[in-house]
Amino acid sequence: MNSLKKYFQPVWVVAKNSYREVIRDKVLYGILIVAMLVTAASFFLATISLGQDSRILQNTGLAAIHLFSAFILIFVTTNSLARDFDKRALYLLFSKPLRRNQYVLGKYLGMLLLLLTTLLLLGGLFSLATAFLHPEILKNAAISLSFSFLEVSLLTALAVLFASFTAPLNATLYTAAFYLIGHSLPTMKLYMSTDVSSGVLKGAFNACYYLLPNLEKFNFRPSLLYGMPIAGMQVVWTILYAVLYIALAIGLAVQVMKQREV
Amino acid sequence: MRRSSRPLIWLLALLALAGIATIQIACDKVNDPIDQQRRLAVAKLKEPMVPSIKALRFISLGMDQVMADYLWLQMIQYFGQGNPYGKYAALGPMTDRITELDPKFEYPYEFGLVTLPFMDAVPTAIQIGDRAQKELPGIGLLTYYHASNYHLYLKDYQRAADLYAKAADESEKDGALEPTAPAAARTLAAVARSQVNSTIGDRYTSYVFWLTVADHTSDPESKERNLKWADHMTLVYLMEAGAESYKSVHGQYPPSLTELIKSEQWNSLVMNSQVQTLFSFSYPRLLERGELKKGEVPHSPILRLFDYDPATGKVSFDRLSKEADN
Repeated sequence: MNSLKKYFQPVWVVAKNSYREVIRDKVLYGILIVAMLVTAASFFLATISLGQDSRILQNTGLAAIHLFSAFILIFVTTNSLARDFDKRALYLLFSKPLRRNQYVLGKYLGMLLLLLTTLLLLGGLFSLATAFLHPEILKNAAISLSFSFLEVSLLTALAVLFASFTAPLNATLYTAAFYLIGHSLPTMKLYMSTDVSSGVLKGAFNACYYLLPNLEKFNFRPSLLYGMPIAGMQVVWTILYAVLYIALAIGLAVQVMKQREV
Repeated sequence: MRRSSRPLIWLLALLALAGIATIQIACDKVNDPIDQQRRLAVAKLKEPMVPSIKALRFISLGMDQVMADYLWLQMIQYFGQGNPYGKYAALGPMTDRITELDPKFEYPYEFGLVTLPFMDAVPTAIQIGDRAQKELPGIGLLTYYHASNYHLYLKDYQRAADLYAKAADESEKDGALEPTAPAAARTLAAVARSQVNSTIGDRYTSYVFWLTVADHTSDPESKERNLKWADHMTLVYLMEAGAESYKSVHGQYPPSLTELIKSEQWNSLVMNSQVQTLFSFSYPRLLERGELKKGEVPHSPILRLFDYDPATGKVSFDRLSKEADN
């Protein structure tokens, strides 16, 4: 217990400082304001939807929050790590009793704190406004945002991994590419089965399908929208999937950091 | 060019310009305000581009519902902007894409099933109706609209009758899903079924259908209307059976209904105990109302005109009688 506390103390210090650093970033405020405006726009869209306001509000509002959270986290994570490399902060850090895995974990936890803040801020504002118009959406919003948290946590882990060995722009692009691929996998699988006849291509795709992060696993929005039951096992598998992928990405990032000469 | 001809060319050019301006003024005066309004609408009309479902699925990145919402908003703006041509060509593809992206989105089905037939897009309406049956089973109103498209546009009375009956079943059961079909669904099922039976000449089946519908109706007025339909089908049966009987004796169908009513074959048919047993419900009612009086062409209880075809011996009843007009 004591050794666990000893291990996590520096991790927490790095997490706290990383959080403080990114929360003061002016670019973050700019993105947050845009996110708020887009989320607010869903209220306007709902009014011109010919009686489908509850649905439009739920879909557009939650999608906007999800997209902007992912965007903020990818952007901020890759830049935060790059700053540590560029400003030689790592020289100072690693001269102290701090292991590289503690640094990576701390950095990641700091980003998760930022993600939590973003979701609470955007989700809170959305819920506040929705509570008066369509209180029935609130429960769905809470569940949907929880799965958004899981998904963006996974993306953040990937961003940490990419930022550990490449330039911030590249890391941002790679993570964004994984976001696009992760959400297109089920669609590609659907068309692969009907439109592609080559066995080799199908095999290659299937390998990608099972190995690359399938972010559609976290998309429970359609089930929530139509009040369809969500199987308990499906939730358990989704959480396990996220935890395993995050562990893999962070583990790889630690290995890369160990190889790097800082 | 000779120097002396230059003024002439300038003069001709000026005259041509003046002519052009005059023609333009004359043209503007000819166009009436309505035409101008129409031209303005044509200029403003924007036909939306509807990407393929494959493209939309890739663009949506898993947010198919959001994409469906976006298309829905775009569609109602498109429909609301007005169209000088009266037909909205993109409405069919848009409804198709929305319902394919989000098959559980109920309202576009309703909108499409009602609107698309007016846009000459009956096949799309049918396709969307079939999708609604698969994706949103049990919603009576959607089944009802689907049935009406088969009934009114495809003239597939058999399928329409089946769907109307299904819509009525879906809407009348306990815990029926909203929105439910109108109360007329069961009646329309019988109407469509009568049209089928009219095509195949099965008047007795129609008679039984109307009795069944009346059994299911609690409102006394509607019940009586349905029973009148049964009486009406009894009369149609008698006339067509009488015409067949007349032909077996005279070698040809009677030239008119009046001739048929006057014939011996009609009298023996009306008195036939088997026929009376077959139509045991309507017979006493018709006798009571005096519709089977000797020598008189009966009146339709539902105020339809009996159109008799001497070439086939068949009786149709699509038109309302003069009594109905009064």
